[in-house]
Amino acid sequence: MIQSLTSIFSKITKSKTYLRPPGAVPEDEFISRCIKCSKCAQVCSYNSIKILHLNAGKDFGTPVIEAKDIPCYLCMECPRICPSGALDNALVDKEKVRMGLAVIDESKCLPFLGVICRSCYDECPIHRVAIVLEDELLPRIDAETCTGCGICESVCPAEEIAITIKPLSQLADKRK
Amino acid sequence: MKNKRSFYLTLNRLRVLSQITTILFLIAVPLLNIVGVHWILGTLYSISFGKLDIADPAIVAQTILLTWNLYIPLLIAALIPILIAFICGRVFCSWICPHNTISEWITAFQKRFMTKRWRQYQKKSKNVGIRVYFGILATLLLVTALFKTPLVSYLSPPGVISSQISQLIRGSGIGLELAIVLLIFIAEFFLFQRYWCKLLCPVGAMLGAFHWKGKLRVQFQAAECKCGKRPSPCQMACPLQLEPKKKNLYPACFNCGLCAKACENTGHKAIQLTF
Repeated sequence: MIQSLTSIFSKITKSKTYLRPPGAVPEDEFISRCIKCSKCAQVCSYNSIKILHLNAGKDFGTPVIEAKDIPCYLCMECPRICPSGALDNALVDKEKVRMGLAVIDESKCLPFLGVICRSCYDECPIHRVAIVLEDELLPRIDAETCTGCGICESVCPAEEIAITIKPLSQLADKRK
Repeated sequence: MKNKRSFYLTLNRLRVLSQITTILFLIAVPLLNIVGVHWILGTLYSISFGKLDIADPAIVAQTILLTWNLYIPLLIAALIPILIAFICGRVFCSWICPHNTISEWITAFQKRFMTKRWRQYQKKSKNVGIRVYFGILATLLLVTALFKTPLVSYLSPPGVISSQISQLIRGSGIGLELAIVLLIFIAEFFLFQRYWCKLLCPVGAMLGAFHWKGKLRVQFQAAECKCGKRPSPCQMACPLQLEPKKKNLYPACFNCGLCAKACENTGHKAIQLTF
């Protein structure tokens, strides 16, 4: 009975998938571990990390990154100050961050429509590795090295943003 | 000794100073963070000074229940509050908690402008049984574990208030969670009773659970009780509507020392806050 109650309860309060700060443990564990102290948001010099309000649902108090507005610049300040291990304290290399994965919508991306554009390729912090140019023209994401920081999403000049970050939790759901 | 006679008056002034400092501190931390000072971080859920982390034991208990895992740095972070609670009881509530500070201001308002009703309710003070008190905490923790919901975080007014101050200053505005705290204030304003701090708050209850019997307590000596006023000044002074002269004062009492101050005012020493 308790299990059915729990499932009903979790259906009511089903959470959206959010882009979490670098070093975040898998979503379910993250929600349980995060103690909502806001330290990651406070230490973030770029104000990339925002804290969810109750208006956004039951996960209020947990940190999110809205890559479209302010992406993560991978300064690696936040993982080490997390008091509860919701962010992996040992994570120091920005290359090892896996927050999500950039996905290009070829129907909106300018080079695919015949306009020369290298915005995401130029700004990618894992330069020339995570985003490569096919035929010196078309951007391709390397899923192995993309950190999911979202800088590409924030600089995309297309009218409708052509490159978006899929949070890690969303990718994991799809694989199931 | 003149100094000795006004000891509890001084103690209470220090307490009020500490409460105001806390609020200023909670405003200062995000401001300092914005200008680039990062060695001091956090809210009342957890705060850190350089490498020293301090975390609320109630939240730590919740995290253990939600993850079924002991994360050692977090356990160490709870040690300082536990040690303070062990020796001094729930002084966090009376000296630091911004929720209590605001509640005390509300009570001061009631005492001044709605005196008659306030006195009427204050006379009905009652102590809380230890089973009821910890039963509520146990229920909250049980619900937390069963429904895998961070209920203690929702119901931690000091945490919510401090994190809202931080969010507001960082420019992401205030959210609906502040309504939880506002509802408590509104309900208590009309009830004239401080049920939250006295009974329901998981943060205070968790600290109370660590309060050890032999340490800082309100001690009543019946032989010294001579002021003869009815209702007794100590009872009228208690912000939580407890009866300092009766048994079962703990675990609800948070050692603010206002009853001792009231007793001191009458020129007697029947109530002392001592180790």
